[in-house]
Amino acid sequence: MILRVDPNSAVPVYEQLRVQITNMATAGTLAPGAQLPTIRQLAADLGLAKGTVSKAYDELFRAGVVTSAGRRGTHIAERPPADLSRRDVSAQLLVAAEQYAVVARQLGADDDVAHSILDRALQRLPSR
Amino acid sequence: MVAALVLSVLVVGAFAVHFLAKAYGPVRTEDIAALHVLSGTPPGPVTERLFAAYLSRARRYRTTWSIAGWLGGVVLAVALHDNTAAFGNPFLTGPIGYLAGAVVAELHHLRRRPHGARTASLAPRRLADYVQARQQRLLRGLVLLMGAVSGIGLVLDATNRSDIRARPDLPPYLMREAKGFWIPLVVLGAVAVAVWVIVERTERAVVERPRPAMAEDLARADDAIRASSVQALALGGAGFIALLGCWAVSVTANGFVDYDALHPWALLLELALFALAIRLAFRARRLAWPLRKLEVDGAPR
Repeated sequence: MILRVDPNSAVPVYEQLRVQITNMATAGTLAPGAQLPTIRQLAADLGLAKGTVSKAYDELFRAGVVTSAGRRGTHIAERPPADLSRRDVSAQLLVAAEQYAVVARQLGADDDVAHSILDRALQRLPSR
Repeated sequence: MVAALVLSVLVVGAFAVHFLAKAYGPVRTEDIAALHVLSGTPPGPVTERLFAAYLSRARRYRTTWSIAGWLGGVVLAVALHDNTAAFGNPFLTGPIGYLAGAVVAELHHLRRRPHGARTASLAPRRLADYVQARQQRLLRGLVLLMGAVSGIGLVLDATNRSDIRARPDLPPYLMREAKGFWIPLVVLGAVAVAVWVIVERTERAVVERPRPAMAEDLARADDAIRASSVQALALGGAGFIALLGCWAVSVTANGFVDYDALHPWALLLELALFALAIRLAFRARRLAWPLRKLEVDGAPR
């Protein structure tokens, strides 16, 4: 499972983390009981301050998305608050795809080029 | 003294030139292929470049620091006229250099911060994924053994001193021993604990080294590199602590007034610890020479 954050975005980084992990938990792509990385690991991987990741984890804990078992780490809750339906998933993908399509048009990229770049971006990431 | 110094430096220098030439030479494709086999990573141009860069860096740092340690030990031994002093003994300063090189090589690239958007995988990385539990147990066990040896040595030292003080008829050379041998024992124990803390902290730093989201074959290659680094630290650290233990046993046995009673057991323990240290040193070294490791240990099942 991949996380992507943009520190230059208007949305605070901890909020970007919270939303993405909530989405993955409610969509079921992060299985109930799945262990999340430690705060130190995630902060190092994303080049963020540990406090930022800690804040996102705290919000997730308060919302019941994750459970914390002290030294045994942070896990996705057995029953995340709500399920994300297939329609919701499609809707979110469509929003992201429209943003990509707009950039492709603005740069004058051919549809084939835009498709192949999207394929390449997908191939560079693990399937799950 | 100058002649002895020049001769010692020349002998160690000849070995140094040989090992440096190997470490700074290009990484052979057979070594890269062996690392692919050992780690179960599918071969590809990107993983080949990654492995070549890693092996080159690991060899250069570990060999250069190790040789600096050996040469420094020789120079100090000759300068101090005493190869029993801890920092004038190449057999101790060489492994210190190796371990320092292994630590510095791993910490070298830790402080890179990405710019713009960043990605990461949500898969947790644990130390246990990269090092065998028995290797970690060995490292911690040797620290405990070192503590036990130092503790026993301190008790014997205290007994020693009170026995000698109670015997004013003893010859002067024995009276001098009443000063005791507790200082080297405390120093060796403290060094062992410090090495253990540094090794474990560096191991965790390697596990937590930043990793962006990447394709599965690259992630596997990255895991192989982390595993090799963590194991080199664990084995190198354990080997060095075994050497310190060997030294502590020797200090205790030689300092104790009833030398004959202690000597056979102490010698046995010293030999066992020394043999263990040598074995661990060779295993740690093989990690940077995967073809040799594959020949000796075979492919993993």
